[in-house]
Amino acid sequence: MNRAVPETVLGVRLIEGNHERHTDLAFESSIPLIDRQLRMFLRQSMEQHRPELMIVVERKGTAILRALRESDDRLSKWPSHDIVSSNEVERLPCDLFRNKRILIFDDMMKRGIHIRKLLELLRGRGIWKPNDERIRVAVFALHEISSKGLPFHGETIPHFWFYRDLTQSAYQSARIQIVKMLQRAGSLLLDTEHLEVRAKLHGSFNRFVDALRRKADVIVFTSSDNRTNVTVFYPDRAPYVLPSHRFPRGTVCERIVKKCRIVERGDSEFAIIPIAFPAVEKVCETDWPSDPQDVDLLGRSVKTPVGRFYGVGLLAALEVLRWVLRDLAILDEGEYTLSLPRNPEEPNSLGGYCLDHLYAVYPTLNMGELVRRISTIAKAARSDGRLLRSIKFPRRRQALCGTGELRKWAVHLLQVMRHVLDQRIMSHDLYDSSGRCLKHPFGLRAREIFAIGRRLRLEDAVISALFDILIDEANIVTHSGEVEEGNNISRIARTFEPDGEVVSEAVRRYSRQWGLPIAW
Amino acid sequence: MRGDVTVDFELYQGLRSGREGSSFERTFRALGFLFHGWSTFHGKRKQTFEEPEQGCLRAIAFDKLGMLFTQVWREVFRAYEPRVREMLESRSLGDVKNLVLFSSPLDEVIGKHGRGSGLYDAKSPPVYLLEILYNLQIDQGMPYFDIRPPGKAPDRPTHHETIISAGRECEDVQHLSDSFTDREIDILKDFRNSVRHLDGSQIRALGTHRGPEQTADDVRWELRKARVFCDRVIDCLKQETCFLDSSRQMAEYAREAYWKSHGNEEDYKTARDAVLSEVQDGELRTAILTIQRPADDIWSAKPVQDLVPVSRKAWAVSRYVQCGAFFRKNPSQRVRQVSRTGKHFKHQWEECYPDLTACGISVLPQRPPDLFDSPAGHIRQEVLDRVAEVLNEVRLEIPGD
Repeated sequence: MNRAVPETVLGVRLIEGNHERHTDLAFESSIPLIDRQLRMFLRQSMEQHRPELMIVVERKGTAILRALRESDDRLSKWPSHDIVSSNEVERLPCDLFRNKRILIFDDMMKRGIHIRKLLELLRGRGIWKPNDERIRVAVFALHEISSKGLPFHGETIPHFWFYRDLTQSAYQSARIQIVKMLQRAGSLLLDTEHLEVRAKLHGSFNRFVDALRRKADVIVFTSSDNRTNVTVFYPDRAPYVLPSHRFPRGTVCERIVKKCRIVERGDSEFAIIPIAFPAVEKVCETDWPSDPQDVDLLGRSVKTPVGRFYGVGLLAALEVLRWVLRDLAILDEGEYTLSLPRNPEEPNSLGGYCLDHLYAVYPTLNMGELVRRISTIAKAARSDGRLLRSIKFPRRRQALCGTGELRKWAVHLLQVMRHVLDQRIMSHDLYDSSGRCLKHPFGLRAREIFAIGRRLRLEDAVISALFDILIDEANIVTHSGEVEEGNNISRIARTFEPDGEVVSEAVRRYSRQWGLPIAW
Repeated sequence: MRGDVTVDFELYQGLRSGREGSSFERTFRALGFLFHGWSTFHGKRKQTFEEPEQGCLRAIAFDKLGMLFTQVWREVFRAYEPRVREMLESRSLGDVKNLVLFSSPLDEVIGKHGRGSGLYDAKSPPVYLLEILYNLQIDQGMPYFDIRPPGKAPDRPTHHETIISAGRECEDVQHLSDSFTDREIDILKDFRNSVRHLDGSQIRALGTHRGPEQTADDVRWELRKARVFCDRVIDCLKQETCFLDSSRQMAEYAREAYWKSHGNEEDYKTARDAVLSEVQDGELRTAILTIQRPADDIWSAKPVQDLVPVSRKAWAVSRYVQCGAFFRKNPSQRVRQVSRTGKHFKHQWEECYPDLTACGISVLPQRPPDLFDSPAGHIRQEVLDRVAEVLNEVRLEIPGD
């Protein structure tokens, strides 16, 4: 598959494909080139290898697959149950992988740190063996550093690629194209962690925002692709307090990510994406969840620390969904239409979309129960709305900030994040003799980033929106991993760090040229 | 708000190719100019330990001068940054003579005793300012500084005994005029005039401290390092092996912690006052006031105050342990100290014992021979136990860690 043909696109060679490639290019010329290339690459890799299971490398790999599945008939037929996020491999049973033909997909590879880590994990669990043709790795674009491939126990990784020998600037350019594609498809939130409901707006956008702003803080901005984005930030005060009694003991629900993102999907349709990630203790002394309905919803995958973290995150996100739908319910019924997800396991169920992407992170999720809960929340909100509409709420004013200003602050926040992390890497001797950080992932918790933002004199709601801007532009990446707290407690928490070497190098250069935004 | 115009302020669009190279070059020249002014000052100035020869600085003080320059210059540039961006966007050089065009590209890197200036790119370990300058001196004959590492470490310009003197080409403002704007030259001249009155200790203090959070962080960093060696001493005590080197290193970090938490206050205060009394330029003054907080703000702040007793105790204990290690290794010096080193440790013992008592530690023997079971024997078991107990107390106490 990897024989090069002398066809040049963006200064690099395409791999040889079949005639279908040309058909694609001819018939789908309205689709941007990068979308077509990725789709073609993935289709060809799948046709050649015929996998039974796909492992998608977090986080852009996962987002790309989801974006392509939404727009490609053939890929959308691939069963969601057979897609696994690389982050979940560790906590899933080996039987799920054993003796299956597996395709590992990632978008880009510079040094191959993530791929190697994943392969080591598969090898450690006895899933990968040398010369095992059942496991194949497909990476869309390779940096020139990896032009000869990544040697891994006698094999050269990847087996399939589309671009290779990319210079730093070509690699950077390919990365920007991919990020733009994701933004066109509705941002990086097309990953596998978050549930969503959709709303079609018939009335005024300003009334929509005012409803959200009833008690929460709201920031509106435009993504690079000119889509409207709304960040609804829920402060740590009533009524936006998470029900910590439903979570394992010791779960931290304050100074965490707790928000709702609302992203324009086109034609006045918005995706409403509630997000909350409380930090859970690594060691859970009691059996959680204790509520049988939660057990039914989440299944057995919550028995591991990371699984518990995601389980708590899903329950917390449902709570955030309750807040946002209740706030929206004060709008008149004709002003918007809420569209709820359908249960893919029930072909006759109503609703136009499904949340089966969640299986990649929640492999034992009971989708029927989730859909039922979402529906109950929506009904309760509608019922509350009738009462709320009769109450007059004072219109809350909020300082306006333009998108240009937000983007400027986003770069400032990113600069300080990189600086603080570099200082930590250096001061804790966390680098090896070649200078690379020994600890990966190594990020900052939300509360630390909020503290940085406050030193930059930014409001919490603005800081929260900056996270979204940085995530959508793939400038920061999220992790869920173990963090140490001073009192000998280890927690599983959400952390954030500049996304990989390309971004980190750019940020360091930027800081050298322009200085840090404030004295640090 | 909907349909808001997206302004181009993206990471990659903000980067300018080749920019760092010229910024580094200018920074080194500016630092050379500053240092030359300090070096050739003929007025009244105390000659301290940091100035081993007239007009020369030791490595640590020089590195702190680099830190001071980097921080202040970055702050100066911050005020000009919007105008520089505007100028670049409009592609018009209109007012360029009156602008500060570059920021110092040096990073704040973490060295043996905390922050210094240098370069960190995550591809290799941090490179310190003196290493960069020394390499330029060796490879390209850069004439702004003359860096002389000590004979015992000829390849280590960062060695604390390295001596730096000013290069010939920084004598006057002429060497700046080629690539600096008028405004930059004015500020640099004023900066040079205001720092040349400082003695080496004052430069070191001013470049070491900025504000309370940073000072508290730096003290904690030294205490954490002291804790590493404290653990080694405890291991040696358990295994009854020599702990002279570990205790020496522990004492070195504990001493730095103590000086940063308490001892540098006077030098910092007098240095800051001296600089502010000399500086004429309003923007430079504002930058210095922003970067260098008043001494009271730093050393009266609770996080720093909380660290004073801890670092004082750590220093007293580590010196005592170091003396004990020396006398353990040299039984002949326990009663009468005949060698120079023996006298040095006896003197150190006499100094640190009252400090120990002042820190509330009175369980340790008061005279060196009382540590041992006989004139040529081993450390007594109950002394070992008490020392281990005191060390364990010290290692656990780092407020805010």
